[in-house]
Amino acid sequence: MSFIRKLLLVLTALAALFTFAPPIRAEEKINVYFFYDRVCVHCQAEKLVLEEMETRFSNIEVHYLEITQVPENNALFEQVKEAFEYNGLTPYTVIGGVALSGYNEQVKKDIEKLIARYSRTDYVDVVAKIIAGEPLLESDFDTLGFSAGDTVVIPILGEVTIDSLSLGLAAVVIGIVDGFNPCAMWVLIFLITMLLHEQNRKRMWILGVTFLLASAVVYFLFMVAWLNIALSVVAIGWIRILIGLVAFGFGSMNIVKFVKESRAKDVGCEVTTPTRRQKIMEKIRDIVTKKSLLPAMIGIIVLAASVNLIELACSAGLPLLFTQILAYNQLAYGTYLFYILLYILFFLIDDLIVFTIAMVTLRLTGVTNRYQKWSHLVGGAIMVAIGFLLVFFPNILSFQF
Amino acid sequence: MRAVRIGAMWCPSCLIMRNVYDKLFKERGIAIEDVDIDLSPAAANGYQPGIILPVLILFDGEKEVLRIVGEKNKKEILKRLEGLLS
Repeated sequence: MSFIRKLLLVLTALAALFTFAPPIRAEEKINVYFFYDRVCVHCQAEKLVLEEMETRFSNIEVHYLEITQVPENNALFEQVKEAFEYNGLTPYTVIGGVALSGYNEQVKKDIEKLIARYSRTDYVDVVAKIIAGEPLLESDFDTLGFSAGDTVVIPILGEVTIDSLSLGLAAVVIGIVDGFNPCAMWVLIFLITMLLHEQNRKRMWILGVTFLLASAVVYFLFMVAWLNIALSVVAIGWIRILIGLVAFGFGSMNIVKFVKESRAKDVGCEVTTPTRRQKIMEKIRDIVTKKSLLPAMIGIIVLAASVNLIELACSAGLPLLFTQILAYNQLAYGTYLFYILLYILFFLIDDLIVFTIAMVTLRLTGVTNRYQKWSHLVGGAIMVAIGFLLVFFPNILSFQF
Repeated sequence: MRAVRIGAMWCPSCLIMRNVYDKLFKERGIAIEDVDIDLSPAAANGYQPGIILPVLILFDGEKEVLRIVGEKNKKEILKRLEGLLS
């Protein structure tokens, strides 16, 4: 299998991570509200498709609502966008409790899917309620969730079957991949080496656990800060595209790194920035040799915070993108924090394993660098996949297919 | 024959290779001299270790006869040692 095909398979599998199962609501007839602009090319393309659908599906009625010539339609369009809290551009299609913006093959499939869904289940016609001036309930809105066996159209690959997976799985997978990018691992290894010289097992455990906990807290605070920023800019289209492009760029760089590492003759620890390393090692020696526990613990916390913040630059891409995905999903704030904690748990899993084995056996075991190149490939592929989805299919990341 | 192993305390690859080298060389009665790149930078640099650790150098008298860089599996190391230790 060629490298490109392997890569496409990895990207497909990653796209499959971002799926969800939705709730549904009630009504009989299927109204399709199509807001369009008479000069927009995509609107014309979708109009033709909807006209064809009207002949194919006898139970639908398409309402063609031109917004530049008819002020009432434009006013309704504004009300609808506000109701859905989805500030998309034309063509803008609403069926039941789902709004779709833009047009491509995926949108066509989504419309067909909604028609099929509402042909067999009840639903609420949100636009009809807006026109009637009825108050809207949160439960009136629907999501275009995938169910097992549904497909998504991905350029090059075509139709890809998607099984139902969740944000939780995304947190676990991306967290593990991020954790295997061992930027700060050397600090832990050195710290454990120094701790193993300690006679006091209890002190070893306390200082080691403090380091890991402080690392987790720093990562957590960083991710929460980014989540708050992401939540405040989530509706701005150009920022989404910019982040998508940056993710695509960083992901590609990681894949190039993988190719270079695959060609490299020798795999091992790369000796870089000796001065900074020496300084950090001096700090660790100083902390570990402190007689009192409390100053040593404070020293460890400061060390963990500074090291993780500095090293964050080397793996910032994945946590940033994960919080970006979270921001695209409307969850309770506590649920956001839960997913971030889940991410961090799996991010630290390799560190926890190395530390626990060392503390129990009093022997230090390393994590081989042989797999580092694969973390660059998978991490890069995830970034490329998320970047691609952010630019072309943001609704997949928002789990509102 | 003598072996010099250049590594660092913080390097996971050095930890992984330590056991492999210890066992292989002990069986053949060859002592390994450890040089830490941070604790003895001058001594380590004298061997021009490059940027990838660990580095194992085998000397026959004063002559370097073999250099193994980075993580290698046991089979690969044995293949490279073939003929040198017989």
